[in-house]
Amino acid sequence: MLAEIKKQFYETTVKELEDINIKLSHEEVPVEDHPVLTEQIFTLTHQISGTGPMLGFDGASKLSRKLERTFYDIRAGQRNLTPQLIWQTKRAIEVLIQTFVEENSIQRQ
Amino acid sequence: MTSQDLTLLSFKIGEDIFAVDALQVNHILEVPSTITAVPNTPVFMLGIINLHGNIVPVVDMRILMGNEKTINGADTSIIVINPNAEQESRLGLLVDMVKEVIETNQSELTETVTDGKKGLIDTFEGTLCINEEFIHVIDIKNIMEVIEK
Amino acid sequence: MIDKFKAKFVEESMDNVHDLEEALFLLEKDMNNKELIERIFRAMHSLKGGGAMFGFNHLSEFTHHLETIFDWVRGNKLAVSTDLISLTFSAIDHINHLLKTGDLTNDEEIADQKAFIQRVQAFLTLTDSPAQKAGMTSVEASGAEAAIATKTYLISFIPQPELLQNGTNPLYLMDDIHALGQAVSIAYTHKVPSLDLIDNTSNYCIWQILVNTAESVNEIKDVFIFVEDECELHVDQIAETNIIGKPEINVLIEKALQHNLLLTPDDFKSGDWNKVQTKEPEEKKKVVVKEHKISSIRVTSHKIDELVTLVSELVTIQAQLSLYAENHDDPVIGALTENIQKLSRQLRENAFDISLIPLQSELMRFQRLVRDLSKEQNKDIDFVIEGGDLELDKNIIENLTDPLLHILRNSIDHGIELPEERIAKGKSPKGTILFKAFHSGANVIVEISDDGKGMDTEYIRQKAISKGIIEADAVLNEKEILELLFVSGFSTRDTVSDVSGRGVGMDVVRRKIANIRGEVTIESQVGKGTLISIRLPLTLSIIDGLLVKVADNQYVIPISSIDKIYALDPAQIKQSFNNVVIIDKEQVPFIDLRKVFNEPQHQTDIVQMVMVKSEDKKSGVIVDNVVGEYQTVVKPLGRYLKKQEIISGASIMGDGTISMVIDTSRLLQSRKNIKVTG
Repeated sequence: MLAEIKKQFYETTVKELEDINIKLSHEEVPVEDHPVLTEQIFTLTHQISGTGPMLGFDGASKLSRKLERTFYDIRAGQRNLTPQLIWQTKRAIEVLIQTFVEENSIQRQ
Repeated sequence: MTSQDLTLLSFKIGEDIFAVDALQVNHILEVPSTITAVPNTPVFMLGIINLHGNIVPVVDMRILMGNEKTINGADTSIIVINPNAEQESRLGLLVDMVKEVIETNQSELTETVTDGKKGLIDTFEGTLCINEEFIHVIDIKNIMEVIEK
Repeated sequence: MIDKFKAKFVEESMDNVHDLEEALFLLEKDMNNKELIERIFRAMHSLKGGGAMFGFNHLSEFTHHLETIFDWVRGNKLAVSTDLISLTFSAIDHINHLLKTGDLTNDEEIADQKAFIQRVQAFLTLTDSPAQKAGMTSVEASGAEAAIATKTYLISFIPQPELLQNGTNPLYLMDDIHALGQAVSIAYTHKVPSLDLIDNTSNYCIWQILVNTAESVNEIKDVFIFVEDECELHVDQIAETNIIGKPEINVLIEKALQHNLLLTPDDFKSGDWNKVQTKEPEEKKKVVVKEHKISSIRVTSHKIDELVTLVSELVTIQAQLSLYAENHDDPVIGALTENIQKLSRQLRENAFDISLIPLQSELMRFQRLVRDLSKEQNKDIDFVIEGGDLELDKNIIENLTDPLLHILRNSIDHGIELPEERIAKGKSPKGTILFKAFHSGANVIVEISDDGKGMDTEYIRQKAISKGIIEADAVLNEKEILELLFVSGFSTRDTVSDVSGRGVGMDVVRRKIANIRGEVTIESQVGKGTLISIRLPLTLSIIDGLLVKVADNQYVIPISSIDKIYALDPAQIKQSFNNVVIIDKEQVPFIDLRKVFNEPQHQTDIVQMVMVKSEDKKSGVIVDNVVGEYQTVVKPLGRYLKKQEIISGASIMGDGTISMVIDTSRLLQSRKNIKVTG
């Protein structure tokens, strides 16, 4: 049962991360899209940080907590979503996906 | 006064005195009990010796200089030269006797006068005259060419 | 310490460049291959990042532009073209140069690099999107920035050892900083522990970066946002203008690296740049270089040479020990000696295995040569490689490259015809050069064949006659005529082309191959093509040999070429007018070493005949007697005995005496020559 939940969590999360990654890959992310994107990243990373550790994705959870914190600030208007930040977020999300994949394969062994 | 810019090692072949650039000299050895003859080589090529684990060919300078008598005596020695500091260029010169180290100047050398060609060596770096004795300075490059020919 | 890392970076980068070149070759054949484009992009990316990290700033700057190009290609914003590939090929040469020399110091070279970068950038102007990276407003250190106010910042990035553990790659961070504007990075590696203490997952490096940018401090800090927890970060403005590259700054950096003292903003305070304050370095945590799984390690070739030499010495000493044990009837020493012999044999084999490297490493140069020359001469050539993964002694490979390049040049210059010429002859317009390497017994064979015009034996014969190499009435078969190509001074071309004349230098090729105990043969058919075959030993310095006695000397015959040993009555040899003895009702040709070496005739009652084979030839070799089997270190005879073809080296025996190593293939060849001329 737990394995099933884990599998589902892994699959949907990675898919959603990849989704975000593609959005971030665009030449320029239109400013009007920023709030939606911020919300999406915050929600997803919040989820990962909450559920991840339970399912054994420790590394991924740790990293996602950083993203969560940053996007919490952006959401609250305490930080701006600068192009540099978008770029770093893209980097972080790529690492996050990689970490997920690695942790998932380790668990399956 | 100029500084001494040339150091030579002189040696005897028969009654003649020759010298080589001392900086090119690696070792001076007694003649070992065996020199391994290499087949099908010219007469002056005496063979090869084992010098601290490396192979060094030895040539008989007496033959190269056109001397008839080539009998080894107590003073017969091998001067190992190492031109270009390359292992593969190392060469042993068997001479009748090693004399001395001479400090001199390049400018003291006069042109060597050869009395017709006796041996295989035809060029010299020059001749030095000390105490009425003539010392012919051997051109190592020339020797190498002659042997490699 | 930094030098050590630099050297390692250079070595690894060479691999990267190698990979790059390989991918480029493949891309040329398959221009839309995404995977290859990605590979090229990755290679450029690593070169850029690594360059910045290890102080190869020109390299980093240069590859940055190429990376951008391939980033565009990968994003379908730019199409791969032959021009782009050619440009990238020359860029690879430049990268190699930068890796070898480090940052350029010569003004002319710096100007050249600028011009090159402009050529690279020209590809980018074809499209209009200015951004290099997703939505980043970044300012390059090019003329355009003059209008924007830029400031210079000192960034001190002191990561904790855990930095690498959550997937952070410091390379990317350096990269992003470099993307902000002109930047110089300084890597401090003094905290890196000795190799045995390194923890692969820990970071031990500290970086400082000087960057000139229009971005704000916060913008710069954003780069490090997701590593905040794992590092100590300071970003300080140190100048209102661009001071990067000023000599005073370089001096500061030099000093900082020398003393492993991090730069502080104070160092840049006054115009008096030389005033460096010595300040206790802040306590930093250990660190770095993320090493990947260590399935292989890099060792300098010099260390391998040393190992091989030491093992060779050991083998010699062991032989002395064996000799001693034989003469002293002590069972303990006997047993120990036997064990040492076994061990040193294993050690020897291992050491040699290590010194073998794949031929592959040189193939790129060949591919490159074929590509460049055929382009230059408008020839269409398919270069096919088989057996590139074959391994050979590195000393052999080193000495093999030049002759092979020469042979290839010959094939391209004079072998393969122009496409129209080929069509007229009814051949495919595209010529083929096949490079093939394979094992054959204890040897390795390398063959280079082309389907070009082949060699006109009649022409070669005439030429040899006019050169006075052979008599006008000499009767030679085809093989013998082709052999003339190896005669010194032979050339089938009066005017030597700038690249090579067919036949020119084949004597040199043979000599060079002979130096590594190899043999070269040619086969050719007019109109069909030419095949050049090189036979090489697997290793150079140690051989298993059979020790034999001939007159006063001892000789070593390599075991690999020995078939059988017979005892004969010397009378049998004397009776034979054509040097053939009958054994088991078969005629066996023989070579009497006493004759070959001009020694007096045999006086003994019995002699021994060693059956030796080389290539397709087989012959008996008469010796006085066989002493035994020995493993010996072959030492060169030196330059003065080069003409001694039959003797390829000498070996010092346990008792200090010398035995000479016989080159069996030369020996057998000499017999053939005797037959031909006699």
